[in-house]
Amino acid sequence: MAYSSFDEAYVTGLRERNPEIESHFIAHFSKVIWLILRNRLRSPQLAEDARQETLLRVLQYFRSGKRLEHPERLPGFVHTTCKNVALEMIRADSRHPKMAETAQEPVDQRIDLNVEIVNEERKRVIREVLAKLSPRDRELLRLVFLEEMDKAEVCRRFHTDEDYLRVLLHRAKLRFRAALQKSAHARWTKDA
Amino acid sequence: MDHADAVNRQATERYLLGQMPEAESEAFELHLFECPDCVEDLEQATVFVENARAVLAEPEVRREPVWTRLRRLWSDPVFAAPAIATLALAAVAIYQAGLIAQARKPQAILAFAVRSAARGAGDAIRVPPDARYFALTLDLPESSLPRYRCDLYTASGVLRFSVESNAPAPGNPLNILIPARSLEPGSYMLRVRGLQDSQPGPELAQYTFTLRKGSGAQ
Repeated sequence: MAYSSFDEAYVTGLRERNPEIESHFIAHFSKVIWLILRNRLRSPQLAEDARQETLLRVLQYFRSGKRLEHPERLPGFVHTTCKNVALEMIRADSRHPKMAETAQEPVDQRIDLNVEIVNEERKRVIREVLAKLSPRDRELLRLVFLEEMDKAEVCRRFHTDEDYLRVLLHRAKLRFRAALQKSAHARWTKDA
Repeated sequence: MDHADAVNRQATERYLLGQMPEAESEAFELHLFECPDCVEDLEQATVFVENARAVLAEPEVRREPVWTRLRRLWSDPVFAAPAIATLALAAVAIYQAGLIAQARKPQAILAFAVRSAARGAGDAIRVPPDARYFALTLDLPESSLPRYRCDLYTASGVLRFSVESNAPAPGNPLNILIPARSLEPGSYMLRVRGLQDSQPGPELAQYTFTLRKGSGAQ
C-alpha cells in the first residue's frame, strides 16, 4: 500500500480489527512515531513506551466505533495522538496510568526499534568517522549530544554559531552513511 | 513542507539539534508521515547520534600519528611474529580465492516467489544449509520506470542492504540474488521504489517474508 492511500476501507478495517490492516498500520507508522518520540522524549525506554501507547490509542479509537471525517488524514491523526502522548509522558515522567488498563493487549512485541540502534559494528564505524574530525569538532559533538549542554553556550564557548553545528552534524551523518554502506557492501561481498 | 524544502533547509539536522521553531518542527514531523526518504535520513542521523553518544562516552585514547603507532607495533616481537604469520596466511588465502574465482561452473540456485503485502501475509521461505545463494522472485506492479531500488529491512526496521536494477521486460519478474550467509533467519520486509533521475521515487510495493534455514519441507 502506498504511503498516503488511507481511505474509508482502511479505517473500517481498523475498526473491525482486520488483522492484515492492523499489521500494516503498525508496521507503517511505527518507525515515524518512534523517531518523533525519540527526539521529544530522549529516553529510549520512554520513547518505546510512548510508541506503544500511541499505536494502542489510535487502534482503540477506531475499535470503539469512532470515525475520521477525512480518512486520508489518518497520518495527521496519528501525529496528533503521538504529540499528546509525548506531552503526557513528559509531564508524568513515568508510565501513564492508562497503560495499566490497556496493557492486556500489547501492540506488537516483535517490533522493538531500540534493539539494534547501538551495536558494535556501528560504533566501530562511528569511531572511524569521529577519528577524522578535529579534536575541536569531536568535543563540540560530545558537549552537544553526550553532555547535552545548552547549544548557545557551547557555540559561545567555541566561538562558533549554530549553523556550524548543523553543518558539522550533516557532514558527519553523510560520512557515517557512506562508511556504513561501504562496510555492508564489504561484508556482503565477503559472504559471496 | 515538501521533500525539496526539507533537504534544502537541512531539516533533519535542525530538527535533531532543536533549531526549528515549533511550527516548523510540527510541519517537518507531519512531512515524515508522507516522505520515506526523510524518514530514512532522520533514522540514519538518529542512529549516528545514538552511537556517537556511546562512543563519545568511552575513555578517549591518546591519538598519536598512525606512522608512529605502526613503527612502535612492529618493533614489538609480541605483535610482529603473529603479524608476519597472518600476512603469510593472507597470501595463501588470496591465492586460493583466485583459484575459486576461476571455477566458473554453472550452478543451480533456489528461487522463491514472494507476494506483495497487498496480496497477503508474508511468505515463509526455507533455504537449505548448504546453499550459497538464493533468489527472491518479485512480481512488480505495472510501472513505466526504467530502474528500481530494493531496500531490505529486518523486522526491527534496520536496513540490511539496497540493490538497484534495471526494470525487467514487461511481464517478467524481478529477481534478487542473495548470499545465503548474509541474512540470519527471521522476518524481513523488502521495499521496492522506482528510480527517477537516480533518485528514489514513490514506493511501488512491499514484500514481507520469513527466512528459515535448514533441511526439510516448508
